[in-house]
Amino acid sequence: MSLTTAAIMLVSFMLPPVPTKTRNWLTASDKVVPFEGEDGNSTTDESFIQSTVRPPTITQMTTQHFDVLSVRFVSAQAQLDRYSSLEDGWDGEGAFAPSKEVIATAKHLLRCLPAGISLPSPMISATGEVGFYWNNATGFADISIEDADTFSLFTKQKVGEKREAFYEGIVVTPASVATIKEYLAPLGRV
Amino acid sequence: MTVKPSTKFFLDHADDLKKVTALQLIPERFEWEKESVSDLSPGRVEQEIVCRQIHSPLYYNPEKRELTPSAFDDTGNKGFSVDRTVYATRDEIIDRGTSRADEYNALNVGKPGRTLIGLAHLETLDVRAHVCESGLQAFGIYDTARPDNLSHADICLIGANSKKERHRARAHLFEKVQFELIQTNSMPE
Repeated sequence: MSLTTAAIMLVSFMLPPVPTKTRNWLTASDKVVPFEGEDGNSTTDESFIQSTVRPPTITQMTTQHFDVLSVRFVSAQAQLDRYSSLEDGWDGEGAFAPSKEVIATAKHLLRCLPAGISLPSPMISATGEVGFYWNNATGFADISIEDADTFSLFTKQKVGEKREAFYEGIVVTPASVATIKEYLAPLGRV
Repeated sequence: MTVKPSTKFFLDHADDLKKVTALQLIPERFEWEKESVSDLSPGRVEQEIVCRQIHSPLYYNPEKRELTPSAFDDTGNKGFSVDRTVYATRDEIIDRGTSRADEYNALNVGKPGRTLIGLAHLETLDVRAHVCESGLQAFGIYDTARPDNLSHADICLIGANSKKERHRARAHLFEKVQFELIQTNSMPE
C-alpha cells in the first residue's frame, strides 16, 4: 500500500461519519471519480453518486476509491503545514510568519467543519494571519483565525439582495464551527 | 522650499510597514488623495488601470486560478504598491518585477527563491467605488512616485480600520481584480 493511500485511509478514519453523501458535497470544480458499485461496474455518472449513496468501508477502499473530499482535506492540511514552516520575511518584504497556535487553530477548525459545505481554500497574509475562503458565482465568504482560539467570518451574497454579514470572536469548537453552515446558507452553494 | 504635509508624510513613511495605520490618523487623508503627494510624480492618480506585481506563490490559488483575498491585505498596513499603467508599459512592469526578484535572490542565497508569478490589474474607478458602511470612501490611491519608479502608487485603506471593514475591503478588491499569470514553473504543489 502506498504512503499516499495510507494517509488518505488514516484521514478518513479521523473524519466524522458521513451517513449520506449528498450532492452539495461536490462543487462545480470537483471531478467525479470512478466509483465501483457492488455489481463491480464503475461509473463516473454524477447522478449515480446522488442515487447510490453509502459510506465507503475499509473493504471497499482501494487506490481507485479516492474520496474527493479526503484528498482536498489532505491538500488543505498540507497547505497549512507549509504555512507553519514559513519564517519572518517569507514574502521578501517583511511578512510575518504565522504562529504555531494560529496554525493549530486553523487545522482544528478545518476538522470541525460540518458536513454539507465544501472545503474552503486556505490563505495567509503578510501579517501572519491565516484564514480560509469560499468563492463562486453566488457568494463569497472568508474566515480569519484571530488568535489561538477564535475566528471571524465574513459573508457576502453576490446575487439577489447582496447582503453582507460579519461574525467575530467565534470560539473554535465543533458546535460553534457547525454554525458556519447556517451562516453560509444565504450564499447558496459556495 | 516648503514641502507639502502630504509629501512629507509619504517620504517619512516610505518604508514604514505600518504606513497605513499612521495615515488613518491623519484627518486630511481624504483631501490628500485628491492631490499629488510626490514632487516626482507626473500627477495625482486619476481614472487609470494600476498593476500589482505578485511574487509570492502563497497569494495564488492554483486550484481556482485566482489570487487569495489575503493578497490584498497590504492595503491596511504598509500600503498596496502598484504601478500606474499610464506611465509604465507592461514590459517595464515585468522587467521591474523580475529585477526585484533577482535582487532578493542574490541577497538571500539558501532561502526559497522569489519570482514574478503574475500581475494583478485593478481599475482605480472600481477601487475608489468601495464605500465603508459609514459612507466614507474606503480606499485612497496616492501617487507615491519614487526616483527609480515614477509610476509607483499606493492603495491605502483610509476609510476605516475595523476587522469587518478589512474583510469587506479585501473582498471588494478580490472581486474586482483581473489577474494575469506570468510564471507557471514555481507554483506551489
